[in-house]
Amino acid sequence: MANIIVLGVKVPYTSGGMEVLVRDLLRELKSRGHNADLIELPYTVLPKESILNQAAYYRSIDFSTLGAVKTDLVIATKFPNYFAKHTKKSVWLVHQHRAIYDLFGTRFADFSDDPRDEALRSMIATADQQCLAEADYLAGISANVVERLNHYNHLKAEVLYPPLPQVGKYYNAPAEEYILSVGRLCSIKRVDLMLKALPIVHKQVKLKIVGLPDEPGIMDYYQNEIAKHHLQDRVEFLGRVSNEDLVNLFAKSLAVYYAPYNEDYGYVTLEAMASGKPVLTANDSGGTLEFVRHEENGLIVDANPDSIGHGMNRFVEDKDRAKQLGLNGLAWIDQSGLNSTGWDTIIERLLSPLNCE
Amino acid sequence: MNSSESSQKIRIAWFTPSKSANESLSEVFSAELLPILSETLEIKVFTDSFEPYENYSSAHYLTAVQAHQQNPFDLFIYQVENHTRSHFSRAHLGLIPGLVIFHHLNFVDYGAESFLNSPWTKVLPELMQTDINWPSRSNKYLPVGPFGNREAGYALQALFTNPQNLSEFKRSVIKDSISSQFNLEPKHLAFPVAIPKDIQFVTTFELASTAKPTIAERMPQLLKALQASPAWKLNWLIEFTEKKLAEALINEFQVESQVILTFGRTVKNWEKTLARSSVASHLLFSVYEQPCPYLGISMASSKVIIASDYGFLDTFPENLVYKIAPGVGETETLIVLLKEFVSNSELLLFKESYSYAEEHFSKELIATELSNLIYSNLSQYQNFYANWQEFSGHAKQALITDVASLMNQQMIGFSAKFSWDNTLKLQFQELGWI
Repeated sequence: MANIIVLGVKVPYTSGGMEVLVRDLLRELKSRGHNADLIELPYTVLPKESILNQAAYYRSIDFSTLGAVKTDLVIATKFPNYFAKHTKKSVWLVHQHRAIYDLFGTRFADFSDDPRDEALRSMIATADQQCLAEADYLAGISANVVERLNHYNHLKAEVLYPPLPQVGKYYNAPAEEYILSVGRLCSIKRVDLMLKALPIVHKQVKLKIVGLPDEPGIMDYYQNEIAKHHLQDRVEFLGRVSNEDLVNLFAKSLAVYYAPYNEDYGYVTLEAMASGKPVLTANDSGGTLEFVRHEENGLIVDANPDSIGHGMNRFVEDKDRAKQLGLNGLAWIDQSGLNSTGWDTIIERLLSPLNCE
Repeated sequence: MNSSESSQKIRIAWFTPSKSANESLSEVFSAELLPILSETLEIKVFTDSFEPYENYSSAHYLTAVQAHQQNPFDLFIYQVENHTRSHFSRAHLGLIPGLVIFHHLNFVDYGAESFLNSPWTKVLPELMQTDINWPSRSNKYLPVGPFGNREAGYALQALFTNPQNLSEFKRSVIKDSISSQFNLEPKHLAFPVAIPKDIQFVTTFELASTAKPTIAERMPQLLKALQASPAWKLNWLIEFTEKKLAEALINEFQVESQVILTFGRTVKNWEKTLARSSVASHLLFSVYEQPCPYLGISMASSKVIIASDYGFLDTFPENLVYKIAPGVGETETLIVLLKEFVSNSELLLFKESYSYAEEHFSKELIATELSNLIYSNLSQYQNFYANWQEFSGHAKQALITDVASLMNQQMIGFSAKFSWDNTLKLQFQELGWI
């Protein structure tokens, strides 16, 4: 049995798919008898130049022996923790610092043409190359993440999809008249598009939003949209809900809205499918497109309120069809293995550096 | 900056949008010039896609800086236009400036969103300073424009395919622009077109137009003239997305039987459209748009040209095109003109525009002109890039100072052994950051 350090990244006061993945990985390692532990340093993107120091912190830690225990393997997961150095390093990449890659030039990035920003971008990109290339094993959580590595850093990696967080607990129930949105509340998740689309959607349908605000001013913006379109009676913010409540919300929804911009992976898509619900996503939503098939288990539309609103109305107006799409998704995910264990392969691959001298 | 040792050719980083069905002007410009320029210049193409760009050495634009660090280019060449496909070029020319070919100077948007907060007005005046006064990182900037001030400021040398924009640039360009600091004159560079070997004259009463269905491109005026000229037909090439608007206009002027719509505003489709037409309409009354490359293609096809007496056409000899003043009497003038062509079809056999196109729009000539310009200004470009490299080094140093200070502020009250110099500096060195 090996001594394994899993590296997380802790963004204070927020929680999302990353935390789920790290927690599940740790559980699975321990359940196989490994002596595994988690190290998370606090991470903040403001001011943006501070990310250099935060990356260097990971680099500065001697992971070879911690508390008189020799570390056999380090598993890094995300920028900047893959800057960590160790003789045996696996990377299961959730994402890099996307503002310098796929988000560069979009409204989701804060890098301008200030020459100091450009110096920062260039330094991170060069160091990414070095720190990721030194991994003994490199994988990404989706084909989208792996493709980015290939495109921007010319690095080859395997795809290891994380299995669902609550395997065996999802179920399907008759649809009630609400659309479900799950995720952190920030611009890139584009919950605002669904809010703006809601006036187009039939009036009896409500929108339930699970997740906590993760961006300054985002709730003011949403509330403004709600007031502008007189949607007070149709939108419900549920904040963070228990695992049990989340499963119930998925099960009883009419459909699930999940259309972030170029998502890395998106547990939400798979949780909706495991609950036998159709997913509406956008054609630029990245990782979700690896699972959602247009007219088969959901709808893929342009990322604008009109297309989203009319897409949702198709579910409302033809509930049998919506149900069938949801069941198709359930059948697919059952077949994929993501709704069962799937962890054996992941652990085997992540631990593969231990088999090498 | 040095040319590659393995080759005496000047190394160029050429930015262009990847090929698409909805052809942008930059795509057309690149398609015409790259095959010729690549014979004398070593060109690496940077696009907004990960797909290879034809048979050229190519890469995604976000790898250009690293490629430049590994093996420096002698010159970056960008094209900018009023099209979202141009955003990546507009963004990158602020990271490493270069020669900028402006197809438009007025834009309907501000470009890539994170560049709205560009400090270029504060940064460019510092370019030649030894003691650089960096603006505070917390500053917020309001974008100026959508006139391309930022792009004009960053242009190491500015070239304009629309002479109207050259005049506008000369009139309003800021004094601290890179081109003025390095004494590189802005110039007109005509939009290149292929000049056909054979001319097929057509004397049928068919007009060709590639105008958008807008008042700026004078379609209501042209369709009204068409309504009063039943002998004439109009071959109208538009984008499919403009179909509804175009049909509404056709319906409004009841010219359904006279108009044939075709879709896909591309060079190839325009050539096909012209092949069955005797007259090409290039009416345009807008500061945003320009008639090229379609005007040049029409001339090279030896068509009779009718065009608005405005902007771009100011530079054309009077005997070359039929200039129609926009505004009062415009439709009536068009009607009279179309009637005249019917009564004297000899007017449709017009050779002068072909010669003009051959002398002014030929892609071979324009490639030579551009190539000569690059060779003649190479030493100034080299001066600039040496300066820019130094300037970027200062920026990096300023960044490191800020980063160290961030940590040192957090460590106030702790022993000096926890200072940035005594802790993370080592990692910065190991990562090659300092």
